[in-house]
Amino acid sequence: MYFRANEGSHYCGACLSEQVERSFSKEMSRTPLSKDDVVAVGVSGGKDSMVLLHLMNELAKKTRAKLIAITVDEGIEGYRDKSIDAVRNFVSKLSVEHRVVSFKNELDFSIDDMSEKTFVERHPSGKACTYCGVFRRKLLNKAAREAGATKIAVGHNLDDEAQSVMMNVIRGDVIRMKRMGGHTKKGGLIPRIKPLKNVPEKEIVAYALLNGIPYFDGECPNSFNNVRRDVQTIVNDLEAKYPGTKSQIIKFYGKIRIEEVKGEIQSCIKCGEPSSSSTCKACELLGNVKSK
Amino acid sequence: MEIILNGKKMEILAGSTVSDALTVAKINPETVLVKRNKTLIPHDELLGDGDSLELINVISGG
Repeated sequence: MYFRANEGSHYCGACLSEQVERSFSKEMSRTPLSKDDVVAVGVSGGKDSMVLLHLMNELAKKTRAKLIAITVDEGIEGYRDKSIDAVRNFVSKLSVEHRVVSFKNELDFSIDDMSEKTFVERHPSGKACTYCGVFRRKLLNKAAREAGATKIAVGHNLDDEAQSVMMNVIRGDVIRMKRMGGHTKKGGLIPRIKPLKNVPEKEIVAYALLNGIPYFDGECPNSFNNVRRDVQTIVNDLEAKYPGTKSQIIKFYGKIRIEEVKGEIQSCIKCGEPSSSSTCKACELLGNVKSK
Repeated sequence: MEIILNGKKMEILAGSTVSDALTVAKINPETVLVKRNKTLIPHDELLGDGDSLELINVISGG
């Protein structure tokens, strides 16, 4: 039922599922879980995080690690509210603890506020994705720390990783490229793992369909007309023409001996959260949002 | 021959595969999975006259 063009191999449903599970297990073997682990799983309700939650749940049962699903509500009406419903139904079925943290409650600001005329007039070059990503990572780390998590698992897939590498190349952003590899515990940052990072996006969808894993398939209304979407199209076009492109991009990134970003993690002077400078990026952007 | 793609009729050459049909429809095969009779089929599957295909969107989220 599935053809891997880069291998020239066909897979039945059971074998494809096994391939996805094997990739997950191999990645998790780099950071094995124990009964002392508390894993905060970032779950948005989309296909990646719902498949991740399913697989983490199966692993947690074997290792007796504890799971907590954390959803960050950016306040995007008609999108996030619907995906949160999907998460609530699924975590209830799995009997996994679930916490929702919202931009509105934590930051007194939502992504929908950015579409308001007064904001657009004040910040004509402000992109929702820039703010969203920074705030989301901050709140996920904070919520995970408050839940006593030892690790944060996120559902980034092969396509996401390949796109991020290419975006950093296009921008010439070596620092951000270094930070892509996840991070170890330091200064209040909970170690982040990406167990699905070698699984193509298509195979995650196939796995969800084959295994009856529900997910919300909507697209964020702010995700169009931005750099990532353009890079996504280019990388998909290259993959269609030259199968294996995405994997090779990631392998290339892995071969570049990029050292971990040096520098101490401080506490942001405004919010106290981990920061590479005196004021964290989230507070810097929040200052833009709140300025008159 | 004629097939139905997400409810819309389209003409493709006899002996076409799923991938060929997606090319005619200007859809990148990386962006969809394809079902025929509610079963996922690979992109190199040969199509027959009257086949009805459902496309599953791969790209979602933010």
